[in-house]
Amino acid sequence: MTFRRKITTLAVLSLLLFAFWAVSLRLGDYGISFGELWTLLAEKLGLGPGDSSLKVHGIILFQARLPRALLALSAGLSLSVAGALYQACFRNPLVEPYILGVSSGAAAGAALSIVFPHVFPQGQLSSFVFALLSVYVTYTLATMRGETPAVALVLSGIIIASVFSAFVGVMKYLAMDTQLREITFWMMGGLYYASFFDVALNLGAGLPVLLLMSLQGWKLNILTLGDNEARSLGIDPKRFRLAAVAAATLLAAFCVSSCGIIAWVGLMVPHAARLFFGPDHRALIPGAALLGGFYLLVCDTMARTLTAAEIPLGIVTSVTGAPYLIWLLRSRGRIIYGG
Amino acid sequence: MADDLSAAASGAGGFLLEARDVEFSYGAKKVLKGVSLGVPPGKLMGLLGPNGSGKTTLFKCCLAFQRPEKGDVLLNGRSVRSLSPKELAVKIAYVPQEHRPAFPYTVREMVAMGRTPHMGMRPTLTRRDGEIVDRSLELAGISSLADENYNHLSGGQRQLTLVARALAQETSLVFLDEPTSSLDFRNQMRVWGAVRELVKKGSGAVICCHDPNHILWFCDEAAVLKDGRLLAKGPSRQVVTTEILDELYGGEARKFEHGDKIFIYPRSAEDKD
Repeated sequence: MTFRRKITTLAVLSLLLFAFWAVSLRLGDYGISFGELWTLLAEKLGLGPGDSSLKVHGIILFQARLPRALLALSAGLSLSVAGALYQACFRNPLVEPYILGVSSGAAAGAALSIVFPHVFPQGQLSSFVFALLSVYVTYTLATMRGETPAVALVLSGIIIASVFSAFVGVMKYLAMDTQLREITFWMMGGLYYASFFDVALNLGAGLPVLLLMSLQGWKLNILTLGDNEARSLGIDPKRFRLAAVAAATLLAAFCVSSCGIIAWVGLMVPHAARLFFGPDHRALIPGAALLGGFYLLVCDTMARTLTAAEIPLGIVTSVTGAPYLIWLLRSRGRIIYGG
Repeated sequence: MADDLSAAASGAGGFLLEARDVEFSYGAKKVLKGVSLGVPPGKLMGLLGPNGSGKTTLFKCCLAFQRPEKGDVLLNGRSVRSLSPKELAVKIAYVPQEHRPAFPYTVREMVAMGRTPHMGMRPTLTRRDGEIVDRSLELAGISSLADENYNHLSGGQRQLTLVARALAQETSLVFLDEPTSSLDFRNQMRVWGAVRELVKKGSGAVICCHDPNHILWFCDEAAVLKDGRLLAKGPSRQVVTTEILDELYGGEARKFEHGDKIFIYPRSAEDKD
C-alpha cells in the first residue's frame, strides 16, 4: 500500500470515527437529538445562545456521556498504541500491554484501596502506583549484568503477575460482600466513573506518545529485526527499547487505573491495524490509535445501551474481539505472518 | 565514498579495519586466542574455518556486538566499541543469514532500512534515498520482487534482499555471515554475483564461508581461522593450499587444477567409482 493511500485511509477512518462519536452521544436511556446536541455544544464553546429548557440534557451530556465517550477514545488509543509498541519491542505479534504486569499490579492497588479505603483513599492513584511498581519489579528482576533479554522480561512478567494475583486473592478473601463485588467489577473494566480528569490524564500521556512514536516509527521497524541488525543499521536497541517500553507502560498504567482491566484491545487492535496499514510503524501507530479509539467507543456504547443494566466493558471487548481474532488466525494468519 | 576510502587507508596502515590481538571467551571456553587481521579497502576477503573456529565471534567483535576481552578492533584508528551505533553504521554494513522477521515487511521496505544511518531525524526517505534503494534492488537482481512480502520469498531471494540492503547502506565495508550456506547452487551464484557488485562499487567486504571453492573462485583475499587462531592470510590462491586444507579438514579435501581454475573436492568422492 502506498503512503498516500495509507494517509487517505487514516483520514476516512477519522471522519467515520467523528460521525460515530456524534451518534454515540445521542444514544442512551435519555435521548438527545442532533439539534439539541449542537445547541449544547455550541453554548459550551461560546458559539451559540443556548437553551434553558435543555438543562437536564446538558447535565447528562457534559457530566456523563461526553467524558465517557472521550475516555473510551483515549483509553482505546492508549491500549492500542501501547500494544503496538510492546509488540515491536518484543518482536512478537502476540504480546499485549499487560504482559509486564501492569494489569495485575493495578488490580492489586485497586483491591487494596477498595478493601482498606481509610488507608488508601485514592483508588486510582494506588492502582497507578502499583501498576508502575509491578513493571519496575519485573524489569529489575529480568536485568542481569546490564542486559535485559526479552525472554527473561516476559518470564519475570508472568511471575510478578502471579504474585500480584495472589495478593488480589488475599484481598478478595478479606473483603466484605459489597467490596468483593466492587473488586470483581473493577477487574472486568468499565468507564462508568469517567470524568474529564481521567480524559485529561489519558490524552495528556497518550497524544504526546502517539506523536513521538509515530515520528520514530522507522526506528521501531528497525528494532523488530533484532538487536544485532538494529545496531548494524545505526540504532541503539537497548536505549530505544527502554524508552518505548517505558512510554507504553505509562500509557497502559494511566488507562488501567482509570478504566480497570479492559481485555483484548491492546492485543487485537494492532493486528487489525496491520491489516489496514501494513507493518510500517509510521502508519501503524497512528492507525492503531484511531482503530483502538473507534473500537472502544463502539464497545462502550454497546455496553451502556444494549441492556437496561450496564454490561462490563471487558466482557463486551472479549465477546466481540475473540471471534475477530479467530477469523484473523484462520483466514489471514498465514498471509500476514508467513507460515 | 572515495574520500572515505583514502582516509581510512591512510588511517591504519592501509587497512579499513584492523583487529589487533583480539581474545574472547564464552565462560571458560576461549574462542579467540589473539587474532590480528587487517581488512584492505575495495577487496573481497573470505574467512574460512571449520565450525567452532571462532569466525562468528570474530565478526561480532568487529561489528561491536561483543567487546573483546583483550586487544581491540580499530576503524580509522578508533576502537569500534567507542563509536556510536550510528557512526559505525555509516562505515560498516552487516549482512546476516536470511531469516524471517516477526512482521511482514515488503522487499522494498527491507532494503530501504539500509538507508537508516543516513536518515538522521527525518522520519521519511528522500527522493535520493528512493533512487538508491531502486538501484540496489536492481544490482541485486530483485527489482521485480520489490513489492512482495519478504517473509514469503524463498531463502535465496531473502538473502539477496539482505545483500541489497547492504548495497543501499553505502558503506566502505560490509560483513557477510555465511550468506550462501542454505541456498541451492544457482542462488549461491546469484548471491556471490550481488556480493561482487558490492566490491565493484568500491566497498571492502569480509565474508564467512564454508566452501573453499567459493573462496578460490570469488574472493581476492583469504584468511583462515582454526581453534581461535589465524592460520594464514593473503591472496586467496596462496592461502588455500593443500597443507592448509589438510590442517583444516584432516586430509579430506583434495585439490585439482584445470587450466587456470582450481577445484577442491572430497577424497571420499575418489572411492565412489
